[in-house]
Formats: sequence, C-alpha cells, structure tokens
Amino acid sequence: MSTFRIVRDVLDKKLLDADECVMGRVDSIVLGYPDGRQPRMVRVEIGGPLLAAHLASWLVRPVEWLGRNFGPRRRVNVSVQWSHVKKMGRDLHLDIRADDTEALAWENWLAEHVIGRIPGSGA
Amino acid sequence: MYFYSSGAVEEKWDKSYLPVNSVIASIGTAFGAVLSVAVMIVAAIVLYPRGIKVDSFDQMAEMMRTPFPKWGIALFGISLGITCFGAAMEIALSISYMFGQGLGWNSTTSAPPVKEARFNTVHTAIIFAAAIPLLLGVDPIKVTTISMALTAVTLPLAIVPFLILMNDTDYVYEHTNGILGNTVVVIIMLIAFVIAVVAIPLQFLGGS
Repeated sequence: MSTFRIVRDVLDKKLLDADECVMGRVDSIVLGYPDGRQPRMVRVEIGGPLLAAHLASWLVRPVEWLGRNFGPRRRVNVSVQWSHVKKMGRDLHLDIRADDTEALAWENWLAEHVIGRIPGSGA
Repeated sequence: MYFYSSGAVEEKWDKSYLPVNSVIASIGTAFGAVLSVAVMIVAAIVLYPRGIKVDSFDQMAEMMRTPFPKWGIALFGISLGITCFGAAMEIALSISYMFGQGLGWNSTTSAPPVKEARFNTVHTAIIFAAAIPLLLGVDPIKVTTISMALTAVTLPLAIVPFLILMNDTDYVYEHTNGILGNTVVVIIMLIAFVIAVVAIPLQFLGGS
C-alpha cells in the first residue's frame, strides 16, 4: 500500500491543471468521516481566508469580507475534489482545467482590467 | 537567492546543471567580493587623504576622476546607471517571483504579460512603490546602507530554511551540503548578522 504524509506531501503544494497551468497552492485539506468509518481525503481548497488562517485567526474575517465584497470570485474559496488529483510529487497534478474552476478569477480580472490595457501586454 | 532559484524553476534545470552552477556561483561570488574590496581600497586611497566623507553620489565620482581625469565622471555615471538599473530590475523581479512562487501563481518572464497578470501586476507595482521614498526626498545613500544592513540582519531568516533543505536527502538526494559547506555558510551568516546588528544603530546615530 502506497502512503503519503498529508501535511508534507499535500499542504502548500502547487496544483497544476490538465494543461500544466498553475492554479494555486493548497491552503487547506478537508477530510471526511463517512458513516463512522476511517477518515478519507475529500477535497483540497485554495483561498485567501484559508491562507490567512495560517498566519493569524483574527485575519480570517477581514480577508473573507474583502474577498466577498471586492473579489472577482463568486465563492471566496476554491475547492478541488480529491478524486481529481491524478499524480502526486513535487506538485499535485489534476485532471481538470483551471478555467472550469474559479482558481484564476483574480488572474483573469487583472488581465482584463489592468495588464491587458497596457501596450505590449500581449492582449 | 529567490531570483536565482526562480531561474532554475523557469528554465527547468535538472541534475546536469549542478556542476556548471557550482562554477557560476563560485566565480560570481568571488568576482563580487573582489569588486567590493577594490571599491573599498580605491575609496580609501582617493577619498581618505582628501578628507572627503561620502554623503552624496557626486562625491563618489571623485574615485573615478583620479585614475581617469577625463572620462572619470562619465564612466562613474554610466556604471552607476547600469548597476542601479540592473539592481532595480532584479529586486522587482525577485519580489514578483517571491509572490508568484510563494502563492502558486503562473510566474515566468517568457510568457506574454497578460497571461501572468498577477505576477506582472506585482512587478509593475513594486517599481512604482520603490520610487515613492525617493520622490519624498529620502537620501538614496542612506536607504542603500540601511537596506543592506537590514538584509544582513534578516539573513538568518532567509538562510536557515535553505540550510535545512540543503541537508534534506528527500529534496536533494545525495547532493546535500558537507560539513565544510554548512560550517562556512553558518559562519558567514553569523558574521554578517553581527556586523549588521552593530551597524544599524550607528546608521540612526549618524555614524558610518
């Protein structure tokens, strides 16, 4: 049976989509307890409030508020089901595309509203 | 360090790059050290006998005017421009790479800027932010000396994690540091840290 260490091998690892596009780093890992059986990996999450929780608990609410009121994502955190993780190593390789999630919402917003308007940006 | 290691990520270096990087790192560091010592020696030879205490860039130009009376000032201006431009670009990119690699963004300089908007937004914002202190009239020489001292004070924070990784066989396999390498890194780090801790209060007290 192959094993891995959740914190060392999953937390903070880069998530690469099916096209090797970087979606972010794993900020949180969610385990489930199905019907009293052994816990199992359910999903990994990316999001400012989750990252803020690594630093200080008082940061979570303001970051959540900022994300909800000013961020381009419909949901502040992005979830990726563990079943989409196809390969583990230095990075986590997924079988989904970043554009099918909201992982790159900030990237796309900045590309459209800021960087894309600068001459020579390649837009 | 972040800049250099980001190059490794971006250009997809593998194990075969180790020997050439050892040579580049050794020659590069030695070259930088020789240049720094040379500047100190020339400054001592030229400035000290004249009783010049450098507090602006034009006084520094005297160093070049003594060996090159005709071209000294122009050469100093050109070298100052090139080194400042290089350092500004490197620091702006280092900070962008730090954000990009740290937070898991697409971050390379080879793709069009619009494809890596977060990385390029930070890069652009840093350049503008860095200009603010100078526009407010802060003395660039003071900023340089204080920031160098602060860099040395924070050196252990940057180096210790690397030292741990450089000794972790899970990450670098058989290429871990030897006892000599570890000892030299720790000694240099401590010397820089102690000198900086002493230098920072002197900066604020007006010493040099």
